[in-house]
Amino acid sequence: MTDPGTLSASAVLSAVVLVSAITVLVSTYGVRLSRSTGDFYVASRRVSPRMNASAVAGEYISAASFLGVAGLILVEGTYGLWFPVGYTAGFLTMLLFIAGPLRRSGAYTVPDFVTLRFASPRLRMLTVMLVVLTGWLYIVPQLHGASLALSATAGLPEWAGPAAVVLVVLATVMPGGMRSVTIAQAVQYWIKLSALLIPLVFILLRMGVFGGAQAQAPDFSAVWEGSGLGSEDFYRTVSLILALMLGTIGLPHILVRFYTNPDGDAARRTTFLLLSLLAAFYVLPVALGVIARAVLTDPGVQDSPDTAVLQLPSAVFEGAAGDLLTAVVAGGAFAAFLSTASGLVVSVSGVLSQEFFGGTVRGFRIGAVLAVALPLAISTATSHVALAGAVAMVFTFSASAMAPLLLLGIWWSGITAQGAFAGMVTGAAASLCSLAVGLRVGEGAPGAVVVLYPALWCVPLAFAAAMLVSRFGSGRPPADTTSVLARLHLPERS
Amino acid sequence: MPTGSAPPGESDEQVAAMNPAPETPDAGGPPRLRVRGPQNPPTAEEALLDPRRGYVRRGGSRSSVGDEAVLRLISQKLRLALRIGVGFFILLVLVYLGLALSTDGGPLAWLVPGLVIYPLIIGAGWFYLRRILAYDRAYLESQDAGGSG
Repeated sequence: MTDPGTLSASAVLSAVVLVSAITVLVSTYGVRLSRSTGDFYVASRRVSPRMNASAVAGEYISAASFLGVAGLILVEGTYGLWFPVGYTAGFLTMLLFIAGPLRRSGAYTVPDFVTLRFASPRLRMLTVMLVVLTGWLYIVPQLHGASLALSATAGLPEWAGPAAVVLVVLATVMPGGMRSVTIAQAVQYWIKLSALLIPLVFILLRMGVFGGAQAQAPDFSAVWEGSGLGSEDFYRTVSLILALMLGTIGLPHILVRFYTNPDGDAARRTTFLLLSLLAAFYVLPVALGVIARAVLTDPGVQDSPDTAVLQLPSAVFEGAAGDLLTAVVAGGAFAAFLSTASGLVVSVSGVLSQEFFGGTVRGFRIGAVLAVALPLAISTATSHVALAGAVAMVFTFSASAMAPLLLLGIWWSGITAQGAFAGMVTGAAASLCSLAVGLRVGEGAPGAVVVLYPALWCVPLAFAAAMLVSRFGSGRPPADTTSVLARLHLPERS
Repeated sequence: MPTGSAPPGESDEQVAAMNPAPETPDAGGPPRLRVRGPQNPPTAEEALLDPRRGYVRRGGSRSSVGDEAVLRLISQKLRLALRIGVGFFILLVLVYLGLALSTDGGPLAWLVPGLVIYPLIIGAGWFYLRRILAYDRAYLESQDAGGSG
């Protein structure tokens, strides 16, 4: 990347400011709408599936999706294609196993669900810790992405991006209210979609894909060259798909959203609509990644593949057109960091305030500050891991630690509080240790794949621990198991 | 879709009851109240009898707990979900293997994971949604026929 010109920098900055302004405006509009106390929480239960699906998609499409996928395709080829497949399939799992029952449980957060199902304060505390940890871990890559985006396109120092994200997130989250957040998130899905669609259309036009006469199309023949398909790649891909398919259901900011549906069936419809919205979005970064493989042949790009989408417009167009399109992409990327980070901050600070600050508004604000403070510290301290890779690690953790609790808790009457505890501790400890070892060893070392992508053995291990301890441990399933399960699974009578 | 309002006659939810303000966004409305989150986690009893959810199980006597039909419904739903979920995972693994073994690169290795799989995911979701709603309907009808309503 050459030194960004001043025109480009100012265009990018105005796009970022515009996106932030829209976010703040929509949120304050939402705050004005939520007049009654009821609205603050219930806004929730009046959200239609269509609006809600946009909102979940807006929250879900993060830095890793917006920047990471195309970067990974640029560097690793077909392997990068499996990320969006896994992200989307994660919501198939959500639809199949979680959406309806969790909504019917009436639980507001995962810790509430644990209380409902197991009535165990100890297990609740463990769940709180894991939820907060997941949120923290997931905020870090968002801040990394912000740092990367603003320094690559506008030449700002590395701390500027995270600082901007944190400021806007706190400004929108503090006045809060589920209603305002819902509208803001829904808008951001469409911002992100357009921010990739517009540059893609222009780039395709330029290349004459739609029948233009100019021979601007670059040489695509080298693009299709396969990446390695050895046994390590096989293990890595399968483990990744498992982590993404099961990790999605444990993400705290996504789970909260399912409470915002009128009833269990609406929760299912929301999830189904989501599949289409996500599929529609993910075609875009995949297409851009493929184009980037043909256009960005400069080996220097390979060092920071996550900026591929940001560099693509100026590589295809010269002058003002390239600057403008870069600004569009940067604005969309910023929307991605903002929406995911604010969703995470809302869920983490909600849990923190409820557990430790008596659920007051002041507690919520303290919680919000805490929720961003630690990730901010971590993100300034750690070196860059590729965005998609970092997010895959969070999904692995979530799949190992939370999926046994949720899946067995919802579907198996034999699970005991003891068993759930054992499963969560096993999954969390195994995945965290393995990832820590993997990061220390580094990607290149022989066998590093097994510890860097541990979902394939961590998840079965956690499930086995939960089931074995439930079956052979001294605990009994909670006395009200059958009535709670009936509540989760029986249809509402309309 | 029902908009999730409580049935007439049910008490409104506690949070809203604390503030019976009309929801007019005009300047004439009352000032917003400070909001406090739930102070304690709900007990199982509270969650099950939550008036917000009263419409879900009207009458309260619709099913006796441990009812044969309830358990059958749950295991029916679980089987359906497992078949689709596990089946899809295996399908992805097989697709990956197939692509790895049959072609050395080539557009197919790109087109299948890049485009073809998404309609499959949506199709699987659509199929599941149709089946699960049919199960629920059948369950409700059998309950009504059984004369418990």
